[in-house]
Amino acid sequence: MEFSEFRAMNSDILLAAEGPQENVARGLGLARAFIAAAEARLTRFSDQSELAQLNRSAGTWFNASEELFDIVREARVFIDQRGGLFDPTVLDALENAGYDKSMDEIRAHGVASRRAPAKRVTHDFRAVQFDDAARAIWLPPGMRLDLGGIAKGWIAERAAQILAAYCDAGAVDAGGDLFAVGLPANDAAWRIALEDPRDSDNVLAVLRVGPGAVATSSVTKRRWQQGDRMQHHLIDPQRGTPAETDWLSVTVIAPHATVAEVFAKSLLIAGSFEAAEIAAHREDIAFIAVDGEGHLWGSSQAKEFLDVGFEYA
Amino acid sequence: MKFFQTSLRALIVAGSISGFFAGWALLAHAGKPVAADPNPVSVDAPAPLPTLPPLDFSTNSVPTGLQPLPSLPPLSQSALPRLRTRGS
Repeated sequence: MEFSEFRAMNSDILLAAEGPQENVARGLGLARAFIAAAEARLTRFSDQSELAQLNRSAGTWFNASEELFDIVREARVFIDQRGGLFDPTVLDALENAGYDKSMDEIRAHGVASRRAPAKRVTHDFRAVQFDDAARAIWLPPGMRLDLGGIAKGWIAERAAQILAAYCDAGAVDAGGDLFAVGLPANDAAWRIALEDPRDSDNVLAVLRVGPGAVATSSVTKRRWQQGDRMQHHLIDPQRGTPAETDWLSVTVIAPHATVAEVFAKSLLIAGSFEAAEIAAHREDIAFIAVDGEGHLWGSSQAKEFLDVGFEYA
Repeated sequence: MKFFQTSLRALIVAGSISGFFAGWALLAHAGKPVAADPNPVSVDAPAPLPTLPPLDFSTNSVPTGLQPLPSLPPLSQSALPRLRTRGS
């Protein structure tokens, strides 16, 4: 297995691939170039990105690239899911909580003090319109999108498909979003370590998964001090503030990266008393949650994904 | 004008008197009310309400649909796979 490590999307990226050496090198190079190009197009931290242009065009029709159109279209599918916990229109709330620059910049320079509480403006993502023939998007006036995690998941899956075109098996690990294609030559599954959200040097479990997606959302990774308050990047759409949840992280195993990403975030926000009920309506996902004491909790299918080659406590 | 007022008063008085006697006659020929049954109605005693189990407010209660999973003891990094899901 060949590996390529680099930093993109404010995350440590790890590409893994195996197959004929020349093809693997080509696949890794193309996947990396795709990730860089997609990040430039979809980041909200650059005024020059296509996403920033879309946000500035609210109130008029915007002719989008295939990538941006696909992601916004896909995001629309998730908006009606149970619980109402996915909403890409919470950018104002994120910025109000201090997340108005990249995480790398926040770690280096901190955030501005808390803004004066402004009247909360909510937007309904269902009002977004699409023109499939013209590949155009219309955002209602004032609406701005943050595609954040769903874009990262989408990029990871597309990059993995690029690897698949050149390699026998490959995986893209983009921090919280991982997508695998094919299977390693010497194994019947991919082995993936589940990191302890309280201590990045510790691993709580090893998962064995087939081709598909694994996404983890955590309230301990992207957090910062704003005035006297600790903030994190997972906004509860119903409150417009960083979510208050009794879990530290949720990992979802699903066939597609956008599904895994959206449900990891939604189940984490929902917390222990609602997550299982929300997940029960999706037979294609399994989830594992970590609580404040490092204990693991899972849906009924979750145990099947624990690697029994290790001795669990 | 005075003649009109006097006529109107007479008409109202005549209407009231005739309405009174018409109502009297109507009620006099109406059916008699049924006397109430002096025997008390017997009602079965209600079934006792089921006893509910006490609510468990302890932190150890497990929400429906969730199951606790085992976790790994601390392992050396070399024993672990390189792919890692660590949240974003």
